Amino acid sequence: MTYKLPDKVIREINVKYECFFGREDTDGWDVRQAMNDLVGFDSVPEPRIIVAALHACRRLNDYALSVRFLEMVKHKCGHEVDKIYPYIVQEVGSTVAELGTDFPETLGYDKPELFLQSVFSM
Amino acid sequence: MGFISNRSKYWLERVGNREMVGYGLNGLPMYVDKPEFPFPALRYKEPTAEIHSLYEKQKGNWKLLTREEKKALYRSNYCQTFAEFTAPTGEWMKVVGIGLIMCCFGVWLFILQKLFVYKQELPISFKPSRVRAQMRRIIDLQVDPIMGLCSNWDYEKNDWKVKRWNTPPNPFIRCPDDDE
Repeated sequence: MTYKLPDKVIREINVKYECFFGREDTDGWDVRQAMNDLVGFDSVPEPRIIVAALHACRRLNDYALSVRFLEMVKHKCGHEVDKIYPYIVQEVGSTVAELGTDFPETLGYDKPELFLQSVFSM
Repeated sequence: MGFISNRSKYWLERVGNREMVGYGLNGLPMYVDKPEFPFPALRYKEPTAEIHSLYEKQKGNWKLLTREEKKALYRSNYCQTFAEFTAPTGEWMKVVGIGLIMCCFGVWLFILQKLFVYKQELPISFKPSRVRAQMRRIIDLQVDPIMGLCSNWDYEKNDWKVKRWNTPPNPFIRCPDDDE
């Protein structure tokens, strides 16, 4: 039986992260720390949090960070990419178009582009 | 590295000109591509004049960046994309191959043992008449009478209780080669 946090706690966590990304005084360090925390949760980030994070990237003038964040969201979908990712694209697509970021598919990064030898086999 | 600071000479030699942008994996100024920590502590490439001009351009409207410029921005910040560092390496084939080679080595040892260690002629107690005689002795001694061998032997019928695919034939039946 899987353990699920109570709904109230989940809502509090979502509100906390959404507010954090909405803050005007956080710098790149804090935003990356919050994004790394989001990766640690056993869930795909809510579309509201994704939208807030993309706005934070825009405020920090960091384009690559937003693309990396969207790649992370797709990776967090795990085995059920086909079910969850289209929903995310649908919810977040308007913000992505408005801000000028791209989903990784647009840049061609959904398939590997370069081959680099792994550092563990050098 | 709790006692060497992140700005010590050791780290600055390795970091070079690159900007330290975050906490990263464990607080050290390293660049690592990991799906569990996708936002490393450093930008990947050292800044050049072109990269600086791109950074200035990205302060404006992102829709004015061309696709090549966007890709250059990504590659200057990150070494590999998610698709690249989560791509299958095919290392499982190497592992399975080496495992099977080890198994072959074991099988070779078995073959060489049969050829060179054991005598080609089996001892006399392997003859079928002798095996049946040993079986009769085991049944007469009532070996393992509760849960084991002789619990399956019916002493009234003088035969096995249940005959399955793996029960030996009845050793009390007389056969032509019994007097060897």
